[in-house]
Amino acid sequence: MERTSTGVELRNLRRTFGPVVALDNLNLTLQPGELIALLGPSGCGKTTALRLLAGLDQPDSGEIVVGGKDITAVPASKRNMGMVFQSYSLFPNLTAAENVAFGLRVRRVSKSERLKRAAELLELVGLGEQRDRYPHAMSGGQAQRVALARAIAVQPDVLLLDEPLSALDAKVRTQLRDEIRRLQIEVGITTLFVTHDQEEAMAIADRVGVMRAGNLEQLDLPAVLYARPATPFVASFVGTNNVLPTTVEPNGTVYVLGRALAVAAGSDELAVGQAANALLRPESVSLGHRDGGTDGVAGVVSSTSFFGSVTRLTVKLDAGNFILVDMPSVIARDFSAGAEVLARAMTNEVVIQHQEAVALVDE
Amino acid sequence: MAAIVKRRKERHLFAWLTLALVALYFLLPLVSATEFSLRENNGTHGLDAYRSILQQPDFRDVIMLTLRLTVISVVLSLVIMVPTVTMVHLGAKKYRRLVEFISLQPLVIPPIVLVLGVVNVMPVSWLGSADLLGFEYVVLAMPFTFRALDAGLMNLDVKTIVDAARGLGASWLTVLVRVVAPNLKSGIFGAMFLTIALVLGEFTMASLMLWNTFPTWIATVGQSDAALSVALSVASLAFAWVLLVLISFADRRRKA
Ligand SMILES: Nc1ncnc2c1ncn2[C@@H]1O[C@H](COP(=O)(O)OP(=O)(O)OP(=O)(O)O)[C@@H](O)[C@H]1O
Ligand SMILES: [Mg+2]
Repeated sequence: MERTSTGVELRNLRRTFGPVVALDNLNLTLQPGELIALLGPSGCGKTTALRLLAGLDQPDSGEIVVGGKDITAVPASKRNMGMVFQSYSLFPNLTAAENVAFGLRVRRVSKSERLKRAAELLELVGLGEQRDRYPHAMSGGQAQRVALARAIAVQPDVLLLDEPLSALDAKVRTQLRDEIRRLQIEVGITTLFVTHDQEEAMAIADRVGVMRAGNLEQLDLPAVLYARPATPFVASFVGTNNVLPTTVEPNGTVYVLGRALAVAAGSDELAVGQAANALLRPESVSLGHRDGGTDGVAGVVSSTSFFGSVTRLTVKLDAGNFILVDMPSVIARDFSAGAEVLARAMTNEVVIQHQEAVALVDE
Repeated sequence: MAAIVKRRKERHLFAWLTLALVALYFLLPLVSATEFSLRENNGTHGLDAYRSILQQPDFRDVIMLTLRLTVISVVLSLVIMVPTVTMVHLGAKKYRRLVEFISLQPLVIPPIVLVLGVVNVMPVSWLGSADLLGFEYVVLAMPFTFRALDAGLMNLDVKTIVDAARGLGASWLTVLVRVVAPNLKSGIFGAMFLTIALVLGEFTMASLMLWNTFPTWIATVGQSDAALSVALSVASLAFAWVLLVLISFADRRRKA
């Protein structure tokens, strides 16, 4: 299945539905063979972007360039894309193998050839035995695997995945997620993966793009996105944050959990003396017993949640607000509910935003 | 406990009674008609009336014309309605009401009015062709074809499978023929059956347009030979029944 990968460029894409601006001005470049995950809240235009790229919908303005060619005006049937949908999209009247072979049939590949290819692809997604099953007799995970095989079968220029895992249960979800990534690397296919699950996006993608209201806010490596969010929206959308009220000091720092921290890139511009919210990751907070020192802000552990190697503690600060603290479970054993603690920021810089900005993030 | 059993028994009885009454209502005329059509002159029963159907001089012409009208209206109905109703389900949802409203018009407008319209509007040369009647039947069948196809599409996530097929390179024609139609079989069969039933029973239009179709022929024959006309009715009913059974059989096989 050696093949050359294709690059994709979306330029100034705009798509409106009456008064609704689904895509405002979307710019996105995928390198050949790259997997980009598009992440964003519901209604931010992710599906619209995919449909435009697949040719299932037309932009109001802007260009779509695939492999150096402008295909904006090319109809879906001539575009050579492979798409997997959020809801089950297998043809109910066809078996697994016939579903996989559908795109080849449309391309007038001979029957023996397409059955052979379908069998290979079903093997590739681990369903070699199920080729004569009908969709209604498949589990959700199996159906999505067949849909994936069907999309890859036509050797598409770009693989488009629209929340393919969202209808599956947690275990199948991570399993299939890793499988998609393995296949994608194996086949070397340029892929756009849409999701609203940030963990999924981070785990699967070369780069993650965060969308908001029809625009791309930031496109970066997962680690960069997490550590250095370019905008307050990204900062609050990616990962969990403690929102802590603070004030900008004359020297430009902010006090967070008892420490003066530098303001990180990507923060809102705020004047000295202005009230702000600092966004502090749960893993950037450390706890000490109150009798062990005087450093930090006093609080009481109100509950703990065990996540395996990590434990998340909820701490009620004496000021009345709650914060989340993640720590290795071996250490968290020292802090049971009711423990009197001192919380302390474990980072040197922090993202701040206007106090009213937080409301924007609520989904 | 005993009271519950008694109540249940009463309910059973009531259900059976209702069913029996309904059956009687439908079956009695059928049975009497069949019996009547089997009577022979000498007081015995036999197939004389049915044999004489085949000996009628214009039997062949009437059957050929009716079959031809059936084929025209079924094919045309499907060619027009399947894409239309599919489109309505694909996103033109706001037009569904409108299309439904239009499709219901033949139930509201009397056939006489429709025929007068056709006669006044169509060029004279067209009025000489019986095929025109087939076109009119397409319109008359619209309330039924729309509903049958609409119900069939309700059970299908059309938008997603159509998107999937188009995304895999299928043209619109391929989408309709290879994806929508096979998954809409029961709706299509339903629409076909209702259209056929309509053509086999429509009297007003055919008679006003002066064509000798099966229903108008039965009426004409009935004026001179009662036994023959009843035999014809029973035979056409049996024909419709066989059709229904065949269609539901084909539909069942798909689901197996
Ligand atoms: N066919 C349509 N007609 C009208 N409005 C539409 C249509 N398709 C999308 N929209 C609107 O465009 C906006 C973006 O929709 P889109 O489906 O792209 O969002 P999304 O990011 O995929 O959301 P989700 O995570 O819920 O799938 C939404 O406000 C939606 O209501
Ligand atoms: Mg979507």
